[in-house]
Amino acid sequence: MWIADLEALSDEELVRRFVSDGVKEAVDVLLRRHTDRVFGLAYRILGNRADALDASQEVFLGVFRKAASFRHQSAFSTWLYRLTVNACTDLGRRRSRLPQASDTIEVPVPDAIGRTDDRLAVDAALRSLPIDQRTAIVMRDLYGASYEDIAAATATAVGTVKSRIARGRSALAAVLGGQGEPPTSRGRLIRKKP
Amino acid sequence: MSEHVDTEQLSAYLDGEVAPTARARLEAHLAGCPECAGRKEALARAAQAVATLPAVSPSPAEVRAIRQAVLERWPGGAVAGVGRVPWTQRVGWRLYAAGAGAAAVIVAGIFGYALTRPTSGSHRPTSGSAALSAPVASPSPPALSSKEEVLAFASAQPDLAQAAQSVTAADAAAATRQFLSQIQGQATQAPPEAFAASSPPPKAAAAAPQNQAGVPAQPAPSPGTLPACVQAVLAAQPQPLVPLKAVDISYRGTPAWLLAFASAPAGSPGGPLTTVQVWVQSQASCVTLEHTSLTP
Repeated sequence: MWIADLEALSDEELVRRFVSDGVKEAVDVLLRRHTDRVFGLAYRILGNRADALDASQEVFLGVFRKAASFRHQSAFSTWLYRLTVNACTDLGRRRSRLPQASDTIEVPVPDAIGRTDDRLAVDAALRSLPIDQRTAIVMRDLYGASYEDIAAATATAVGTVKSRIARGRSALAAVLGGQGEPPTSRGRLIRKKP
Repeated sequence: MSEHVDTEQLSAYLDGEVAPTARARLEAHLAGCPECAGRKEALARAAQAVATLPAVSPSPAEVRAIRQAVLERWPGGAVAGVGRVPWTQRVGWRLYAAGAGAAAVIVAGIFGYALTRPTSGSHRPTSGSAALSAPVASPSPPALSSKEEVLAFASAQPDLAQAAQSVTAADAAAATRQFLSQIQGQATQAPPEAFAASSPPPKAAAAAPQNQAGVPAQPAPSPGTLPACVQAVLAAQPQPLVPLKAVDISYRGTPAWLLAFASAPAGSPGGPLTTVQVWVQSQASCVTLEHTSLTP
């Protein structure tokens, strides 16, 4: 296949091109569209790159393996979220039975005025949340997903999503808000709004 | 004063997930209750803190690992093309620049060749003016990931706009032949007529300086593939295009070529070839990954 503008095809059509016709460039295009989000979400849920990579591989393999079961009632992106959350939950469950895998600490890139401590503290606080709260909060606050999408991706009711987000935010606010002692000695952890 | 608002409602309120009637009540309460307003602020700061975390993207190597896992574990095993040599193991990345025109010479800065016109009827390999100082030992090809980055990268190539200025539509066939012979090394492959047949005939030779430096053309990184890809792009376009440059890059983790062509501006098909069109093609099979153009 030469110069076929695969980029113009829908996600579903790309999946079909690979599954039915073996066009491997369709995989490349699909990966370009979605790996950032899948990997990024998995990273925030699982907390390290190695697990995020494992989960991402499962997700994309799942996209092609389960293509036949994709129902067009939901958007492809919602389905992808669901596969990602499932892969992370499975992996998280397996990991929880093992000694904690090397928890790679990302070295945060300082922003324009050198603020990195805040992010480290937020990152640590987020990791301390239960996985279901963390998943809901990351999807909502980092990826802008609606409650409905989060509910679909996590196979729960919207009310449950609402509750998980609220409990997660409360816990984060308690850790980060300096109620009593701040969690580290590096000073104020939440900057005021400009 | 009404009852305090529960945390769940405050949190949902921040996300615009509270029904209008409940929202009006909630806002009325917040206006008169510093305690609830304070809790709302604390929740908002927590949400804001998460929102400021950087989005973590996979590295090109991680994207390749995902791709490889998919293709290898797909029923039926390895799909053709999985085993290709990754760019990290190829001989660095190379820049190929070529051009032709009345002056037939492109001052290409640190990258690129100055070309001579081919002698009529023959397909003599062109010799370069030792100007090619491609960073062969560069650890990795430039990694680009969006149309904007492609545009910025192409704009930063010092020789492209200049090359486009010196090319006319009448030169398309000759310039194309020269470019292809460059990237085919010593041009032992398909005769140029095979792919240049539909192009206009070369303009009568101007006083083209012959370069006697005797520096041989650089061999193509994957013989047969890059020239075939350039030809495929040319064949797919109705208007005259003159290839100017090919750069080995990585586009969102996929080994790719950035191909630059001179073309006439969109509004004046017969005009001078002052626009540089850029295609990013997958090296695996020359599928178009990105297409953009630079207008001077």
